[in-house]
Amino acid sequence: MTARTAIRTCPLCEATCGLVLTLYGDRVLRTAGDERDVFSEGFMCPKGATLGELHHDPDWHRRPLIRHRGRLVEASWDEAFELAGRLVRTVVEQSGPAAMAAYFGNPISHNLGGLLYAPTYLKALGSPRLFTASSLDQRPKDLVNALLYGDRFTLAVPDLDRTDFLVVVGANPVESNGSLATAPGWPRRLRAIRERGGRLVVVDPVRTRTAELADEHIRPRVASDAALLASMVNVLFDEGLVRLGRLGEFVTGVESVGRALVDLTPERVADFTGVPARSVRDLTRRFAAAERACVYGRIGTTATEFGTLTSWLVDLLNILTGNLDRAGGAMFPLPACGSVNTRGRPRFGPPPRLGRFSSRVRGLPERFGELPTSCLAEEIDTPGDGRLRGLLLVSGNPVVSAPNSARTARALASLDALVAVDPYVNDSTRFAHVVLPPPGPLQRSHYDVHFSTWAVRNVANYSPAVLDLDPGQPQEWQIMCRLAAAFEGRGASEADIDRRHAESTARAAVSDAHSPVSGRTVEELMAAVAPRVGPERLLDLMIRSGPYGDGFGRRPGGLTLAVLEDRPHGVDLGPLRPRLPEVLRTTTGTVVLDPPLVVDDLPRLRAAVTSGPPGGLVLVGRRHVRSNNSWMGNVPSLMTGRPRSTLWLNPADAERLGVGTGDLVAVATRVSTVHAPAEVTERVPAGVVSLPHGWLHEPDGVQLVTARARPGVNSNRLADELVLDVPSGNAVLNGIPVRVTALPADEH
Amino acid sequence: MTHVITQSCCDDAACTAVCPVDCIQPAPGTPGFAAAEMLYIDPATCIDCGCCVPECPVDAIRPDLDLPPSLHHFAELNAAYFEGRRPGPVPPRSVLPPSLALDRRLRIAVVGAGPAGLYAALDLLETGGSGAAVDVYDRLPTPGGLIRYGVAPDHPSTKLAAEAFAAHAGRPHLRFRFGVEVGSDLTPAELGRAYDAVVYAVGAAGARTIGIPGEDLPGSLAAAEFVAWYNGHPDAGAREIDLSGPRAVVIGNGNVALDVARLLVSDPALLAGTDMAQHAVEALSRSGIREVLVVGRRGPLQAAFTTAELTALERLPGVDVVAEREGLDLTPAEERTLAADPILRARYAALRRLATGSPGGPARPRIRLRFLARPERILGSTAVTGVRLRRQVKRDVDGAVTFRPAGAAQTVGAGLVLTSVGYLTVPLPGLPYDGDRGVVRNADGRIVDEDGRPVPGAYVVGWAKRGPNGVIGTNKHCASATVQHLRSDASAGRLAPPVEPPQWLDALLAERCRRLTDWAGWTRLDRHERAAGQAVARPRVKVTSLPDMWRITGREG
Repeated sequence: MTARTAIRTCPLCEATCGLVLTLYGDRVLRTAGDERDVFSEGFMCPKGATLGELHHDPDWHRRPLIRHRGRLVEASWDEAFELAGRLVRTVVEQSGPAAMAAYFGNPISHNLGGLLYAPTYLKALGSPRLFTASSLDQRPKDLVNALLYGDRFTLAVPDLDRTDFLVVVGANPVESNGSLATAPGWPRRLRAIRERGGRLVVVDPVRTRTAELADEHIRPRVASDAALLASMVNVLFDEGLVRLGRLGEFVTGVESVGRALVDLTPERVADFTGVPARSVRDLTRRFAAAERACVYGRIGTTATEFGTLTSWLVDLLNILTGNLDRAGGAMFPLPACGSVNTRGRPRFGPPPRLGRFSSRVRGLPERFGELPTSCLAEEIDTPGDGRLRGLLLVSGNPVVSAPNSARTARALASLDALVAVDPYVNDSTRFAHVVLPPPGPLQRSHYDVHFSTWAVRNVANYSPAVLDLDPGQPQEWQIMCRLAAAFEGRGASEADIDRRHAESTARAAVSDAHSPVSGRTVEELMAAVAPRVGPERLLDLMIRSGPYGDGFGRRPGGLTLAVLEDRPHGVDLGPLRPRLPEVLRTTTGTVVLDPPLVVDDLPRLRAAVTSGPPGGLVLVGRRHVRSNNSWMGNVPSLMTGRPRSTLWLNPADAERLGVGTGDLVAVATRVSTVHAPAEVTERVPAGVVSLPHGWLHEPDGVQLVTARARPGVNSNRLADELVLDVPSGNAVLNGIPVRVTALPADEH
Repeated sequence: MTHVITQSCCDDAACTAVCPVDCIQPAPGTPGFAAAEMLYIDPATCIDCGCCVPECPVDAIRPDLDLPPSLHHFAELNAAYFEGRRPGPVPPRSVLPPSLALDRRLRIAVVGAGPAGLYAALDLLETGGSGAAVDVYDRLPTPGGLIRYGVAPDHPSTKLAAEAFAAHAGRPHLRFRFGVEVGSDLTPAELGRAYDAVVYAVGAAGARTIGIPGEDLPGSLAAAEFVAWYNGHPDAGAREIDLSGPRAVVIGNGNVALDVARLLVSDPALLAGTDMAQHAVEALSRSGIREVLVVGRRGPLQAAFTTAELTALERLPGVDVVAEREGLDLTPAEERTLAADPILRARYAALRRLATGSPGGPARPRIRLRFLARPERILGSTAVTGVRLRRQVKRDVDGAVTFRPAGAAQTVGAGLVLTSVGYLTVPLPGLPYDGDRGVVRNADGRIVDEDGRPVPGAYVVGWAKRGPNGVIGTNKHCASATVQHLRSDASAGRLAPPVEPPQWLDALLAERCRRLTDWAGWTRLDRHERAAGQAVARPRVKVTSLPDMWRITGREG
């Protein structure tokens, strides 16, 4: 046997880096960034470098588990699907479909099979209550995208490689590899801005590694971004700097926005934000004067008390300076596999799905068919009609990811049916009745259906699986189809479900009057993609009927999956191009800048500004390049070294509390108290403490040997499920008021 | 883009454990690790993730884009190490929970709070978890050993290692007992009665002598004494050292020799910004020494200094460094050695540069590096006036280079001679001693008697175990090897439980040891020194007299 190499796109995060794996048999000897990848050009982070280790994790289950006499034991796939179907159908029969919920964790959006096949089992469940990690993360941005542009995924991403003035707010892409803007190699791209004479401004209370790359680092008070950005917009109006340019044709509500923010001057909000008014005016003037400028905001702007307002203000700054939809500003990608904003009638669409129903306990409105994950536990643990009794958990770990971990854990433990599609027995799946493990990352094919819609360059890249499945092991899409069949309970086969799903994809394409395959027949398309099955069949349908596709013969030379299969380093489809107004899917065909759902939240911000900055310490999260939300803590190479689950504390606060680095402190909120080792650092300003998220805390029953050896502190034990960004229902995971006290040293 | 390891590399290899592509070499467990001068990053495989940076206790790792000019040459040195090497498979790693499953919690004493002792204590706690409780003893109230009293004051990054240790001081099951001298306040036998195991980390406080006439003349002293003096060791005090000049000779050419040579001719204004003892700053600012001759008996390839220290010396501001050309020729065997070792080549290239560079002028102080010169006598009647050196020649015998004296002797005038030819562990009454090696008699860390039989429950780490070699982080791996033996002895039932309860020892200490203090006492002294330093723009002003130290820690003198 000799060593061989395999090329594939890393499926772990949004950056979509090309990897070159050197394998001997099925073992990965070494991984390198693919220098020839059209997008990542050799960039790779530690997680990609250890993809092989993840794949071979001995705690990654290869066979399903079912609960037997209180313990999870291995079972056959048939037994597992049978039990899953029986448990779920019992819940639905006894309490109705509304008693069944699904929770999607973030990895599903990085997973070709998982993402494309979600509709099959959701349909089979008969409209379950849906919860996802999005409402712990970017739901405010989703909401603003839907209100301004007509679809939650119609996101204007920073045109990173051409901008001359980038303002990064509440984002740390040097550690996170970037989010809501797919760009492998952020550090290199950020440095390139400065190398071509541009300017990088980072707005973040914390001195992050991204801030260290900046020309300017502005450190506002935690959770004051909405006020800060509102005052920047105010300056645009006040100083006559609004320049819509060609956007004037498609944008309405400009004057109304000016009036709505007229009182939020930099001088008025300076005490609240901690940023001097003249700095704000100066920054705004320079931003407005720049040729190619963009504001980009991330988790620090969304998982906060005023997430929706902040997300809206980010877009307003780009729009009002004419930077939306122009090179070097904030632009809309055009993905090869298509998206909502490439299908149907250009420019016009139905109203977004908002508030058609509400949660049972707190009456929180749905957003895009989802309820806030912050109310998942109460929907389970609050008695009464309509109580949730069953949950399908797909690559999700809400005990670690959702606020108030302890309550979430108790709630999951009480369910009548908990079916998990997950490789691990983790904090959440330890309560499952059935665990269905997908194959390892090297056994799956990959195409970034979702993240190619948010990429800063239009690219298409398909990777086949590197390793074969074990005998009898199903692909993830097969697990999904079999689950759908089990939930239906009508004896459909996996192939039936798959074919129906492909036909409905084809039907949607041929019945779209604006599609290149409009008027063709389903049979014709299905025959053309034969003998492909599974996600490859769907992907071929999507690509060929997509913006660059061959249109099934109508556009010779256009993209097909076969073309991508021949190009393992990807196909470059060029820099982002202007897409307004066709990208819109709004009812008016315009961008309405002052949606009531957002503007009506301004009084809440105004009240916060008026009452002034609260005293005491506030907790923010933080990201590390070796971590990935609630998972990957079981990869030894990512867990070696100094403890990372420490409470960052400014020297002044440390002095006042009498603690030094390494001392144990107690951190308390309404919800809970955790103990963490202190790490004294000037990276956080006085008054701010920081804990990373995603760490384990309750290892009882968790079958993760490495993660248990490095347990860490789960910051979501402290987060309060009752505190939300009101318009979006997103959890507030940054800016949590906490009490910190020193703990006496252990005596022996 | 790559990261680069620079001068202060401490060899603790903490960085290697986090590197996802295994680009930091030589890594522990690989053949070159034990002998490595420092570690290097392969620019061809580094992914520039920066994960290694915070792991480094001495701030040695920098992105290449941010290298200051004084460290630029390390980019080449790092790259040079990988010439002709191909990256192998990335080795699997494991993160294991602590495991020392016994029916009792082991009580372990560590004698000596220098790097070796502290690494041993931390290793015990990390691998033993709650199965181990450690008391660390030191006769001084200042932890860190040679970090405080050995590292040159102009190497502040290296001293950061102390802060990495301090971050662990509050760990559960770890206690410090400062102000207890094992050997006088407590005997090893008494310690043995109170603990399951005792780990000796007593270092090598004695200096080797050359054994030539005149070594005991005033003006001739061990470099170790000079180091202790400028670093403010309380045993060295504020003694008078004649620095009237104009020349000093340093015999021996390891890194300590380069340290003392450098500090003797450094700009006093620079020294005044370091934590050098105040009396030394004052004495050196009045120094008349204009030239330091560093003498090595063997050739440039056998010199004990590291490439990193030599190349740093090249960049010393305001000082001419000259390598004497006569000693630089190589034998065929040496040429072969050079061809096989890129780091040695970099070192030799630096010496060549130093031999051919144009000096800055007679007004500038100077360091001369002389090779192949054997000291025969330190000259003088009532005080040192010079050194007599004899030239050596070398030739290959059976493919290996050998040296022998040849030619005429020459006399070099000097008012100060510092000998830097090695250290010895001072024998501790009650512990077996290996006089040949100058260490506590041991077999890979287990203390053994004359017949090689292990003394139950007695272990040794650091210089007292292996002799005076390596840098700070070398002790981490040295301590880990000893602790592994201790753990396996514990698991195999070879450790006898303490005969006496803890209270017995507490009572003994209360009776004998009025100065006993702990980490809090050190913290008081540390804060005092830093505050005094802040007032005069220095990192700290060291307290150098024992009575003052005890007073500030809160104990009687």
